[in-house]
Amino acid sequence: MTLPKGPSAGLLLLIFAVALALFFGAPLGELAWRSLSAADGGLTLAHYAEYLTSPGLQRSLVNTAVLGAWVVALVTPAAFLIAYGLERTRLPLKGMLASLAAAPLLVPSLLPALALVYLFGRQGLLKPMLGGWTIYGAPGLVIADSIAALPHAVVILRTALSGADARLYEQAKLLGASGWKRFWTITLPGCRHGLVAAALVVFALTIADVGAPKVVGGGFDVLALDIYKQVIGQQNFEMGAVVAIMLLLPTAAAILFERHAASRQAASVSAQAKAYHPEPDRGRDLVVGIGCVLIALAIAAVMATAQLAAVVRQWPYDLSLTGIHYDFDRYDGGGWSAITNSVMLALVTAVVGTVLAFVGAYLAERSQAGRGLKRVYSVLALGPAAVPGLALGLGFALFFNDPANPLHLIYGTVGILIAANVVHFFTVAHLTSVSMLKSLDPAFEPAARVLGRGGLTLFGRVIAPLSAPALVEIALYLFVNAMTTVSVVVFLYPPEFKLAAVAVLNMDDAGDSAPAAAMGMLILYVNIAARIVGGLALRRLARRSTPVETPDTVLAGVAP
Amino acid sequence: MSASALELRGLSKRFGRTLAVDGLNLDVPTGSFVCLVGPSGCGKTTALRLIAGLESPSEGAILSEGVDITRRHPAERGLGMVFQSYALFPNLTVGANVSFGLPGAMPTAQKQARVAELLELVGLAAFAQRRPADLSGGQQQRVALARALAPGPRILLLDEPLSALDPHLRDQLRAELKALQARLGITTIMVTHDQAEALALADQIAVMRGGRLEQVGSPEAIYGAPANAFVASFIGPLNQLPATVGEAGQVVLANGARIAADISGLAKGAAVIATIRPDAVRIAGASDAGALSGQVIAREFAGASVRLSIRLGDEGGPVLRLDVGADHPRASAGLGEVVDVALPADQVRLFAAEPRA
Repeated sequence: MTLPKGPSAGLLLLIFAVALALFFGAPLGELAWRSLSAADGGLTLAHYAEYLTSPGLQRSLVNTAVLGAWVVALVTPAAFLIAYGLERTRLPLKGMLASLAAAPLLVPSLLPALALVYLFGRQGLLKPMLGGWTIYGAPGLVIADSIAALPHAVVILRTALSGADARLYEQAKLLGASGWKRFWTITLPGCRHGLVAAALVVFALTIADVGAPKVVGGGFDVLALDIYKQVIGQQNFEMGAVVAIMLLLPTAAAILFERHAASRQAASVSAQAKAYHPEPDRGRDLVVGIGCVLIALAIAAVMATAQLAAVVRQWPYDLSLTGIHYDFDRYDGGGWSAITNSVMLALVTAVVGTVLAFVGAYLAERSQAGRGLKRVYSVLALGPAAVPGLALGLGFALFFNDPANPLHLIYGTVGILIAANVVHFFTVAHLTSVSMLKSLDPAFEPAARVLGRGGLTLFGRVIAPLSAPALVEIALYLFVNAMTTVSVVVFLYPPEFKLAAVAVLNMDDAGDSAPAAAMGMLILYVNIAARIVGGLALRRLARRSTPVETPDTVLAGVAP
Repeated sequence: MSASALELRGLSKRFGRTLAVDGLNLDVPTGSFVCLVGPSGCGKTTALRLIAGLESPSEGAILSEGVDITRRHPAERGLGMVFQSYALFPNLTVGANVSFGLPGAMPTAQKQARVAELLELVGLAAFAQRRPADLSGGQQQRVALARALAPGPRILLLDEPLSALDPHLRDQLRAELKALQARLGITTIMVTHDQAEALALADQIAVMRGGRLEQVGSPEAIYGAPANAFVASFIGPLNQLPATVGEAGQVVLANGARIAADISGLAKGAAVIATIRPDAVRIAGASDAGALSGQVIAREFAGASVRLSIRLGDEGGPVLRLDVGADHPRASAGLGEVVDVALPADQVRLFAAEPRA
């Protein structure tokens, strides 16, 4: 076989680009269209006018902004502290700290909210500590969303802090700058783009989250919850589309700025930089360590509470152990099948998404396809990260539900769930693939061409095996996110195909919060198991072949 | 017309608005070793990629033994290529790398024999099961060579094959490369920015600048009779002294000093650049008429010789570099001492002063 010459690689990439346009661009277009379409089929701003004049909206808009700002203000310093502890100190048990800080990634965003209710809610164990305060509303939302967003910010800030150039610190020390001065003049300025990127991602994640508002929102309405209420509660798709667009605009703006900041951060790392190794400093380690321990304890307490509530008869009155809440089939909206369904969906999403993202990235980075097409595809692939799951999910529902659409046949099937998940998490998978592929010698393809071996041979024998570690990372990322996401699938799942994360929402909604906590924790254990399996696979890969550097998984995108 | 191994006819390559290769005409005789040499960005690597078929030319044709191969797939041109990075596949063994380009239909036993033969040829017979990362830079380069030669190409293309190596290793591998090429008699085209490498290896050197060929010729011709000041200065150390054409076989330097040179065909008063290589400048003896004298302003010891820089005339006068044998009495001249030098007229070359860009 000969290598795909210009046309066939180009054709393949064209198919990828068209597929992205169809499964990403078109649903978004449909969403925008429906928000603007009048009953008679014409264009109108009536829906926007109606929504903007409704008394509830201004409150939701302000609430959403206030919530986002609070969470950013809380999470950015907390995440910086943890990232600093992991990258710039000699703290013991860093592995444990990193695992705890990452744990909220592995559960649906509702779970921290659920645990807060168990701790501080009406029947909360620690409710007396609040005095006259209540957890429902803004305080609970801020805390729950902070816990959910923290790991994303930690990932970004660790990357920013790990790129330090030891030479700068050595030079500063020779010039007599104190530790404090070095922190303010080198460390902080050095990761300012990372700080901006982290803040923006946290903001985008928070305003797009529907899980926590549903559980502890009380009367504190936010945009994401408005969409959910309009669509699920009132079947008002036009109005849902209007709110989804209102949510999409700030999210997209935040993510676009974030990409800009992230690329500036990456560009600020010099290729000649000398790796920084923190030297002993007990004072520093003590201060940072206390902060890290407090944050880690809070996360651990939240997780432990959720688990404990799931195995006692009646929190907090009857703390005798029972397995009764695991009998999911007794509860509306639950069922053990939700877990198996979710695992299956996550597995398929992981495999399909990894293959598509990697092959697409390969064609766009290293094939002989036309330059213009490559750019179009690369831009398209960045889009999904900027779109909240609720907006994408609603767009999917509107676009594929149309019987006139030839793709209508996937509506109401598992297929649409796979497609929505793959698209929703595509950007991170794509960017991880791209950074992996960029690390491989660009002369591989010319060398294979001169030697007369096809692109497929090279891809199968060299490119894919060398990229195996990155492929495992991508598959893990997709699996974990597909297990935990609510927003992108909540409008799409067929009635007979329940999903675990959605079941957590629905069981809690029905008042069965103990089984909801039980299922939320099961999702955590499934994800931990997946991470262990993935970790073993990575270790085997590392042993089998010559060490190839795995690029850091690119920033966790918007994934609520 | 005897068919050359390779013939480039008016070859051009345009990237957007820049002309990377501009009307290249080159004849590569069968069995010869040709070096494309020039500063970075001169288009030499693009030219090599055009020959390999990795880029398609905007204009012109490539002929191999009289047959037009301009539009052929890289693998159907009968050539092997060694890349600057070697592009060895790190997850495959040395043996698998070498056999990568062998036809899929070839029986396994035959493939193994071919791999063994090539690894033997490059002196790495014992390394078939190793991975590239376990090998030294020089060994990796030889694996890349074996892989390029495995399918039995008629032409070997080398893209800066020695530049990734340590200097002392480079000299050794340079000799090995030359010996291997001579033994196989394979037509070879090498791209390099290192003029010493080109001088040592090539039968023919093609000097490029700005996408164009400046001069093609034997190493001796390029060094001894460069076509212009650029070639002269690129191919070796060179003194370049602005001057004007004077009378009676003399040119006048900026400081008024006169030196003898062949001025035939040049108008009196024309601006020229008088050039001479440092190794051609001599310390003046008593019998030398028209010797110049200058003050030593820098001195670099280089083993067998010493390079002196002397300033002719006063502050701001032209500076001349010369190589003095280390055993010469004046080799020990210290800073500030005055040295008399002679510039043999047959070693002085005059080039038209290039208009400034």
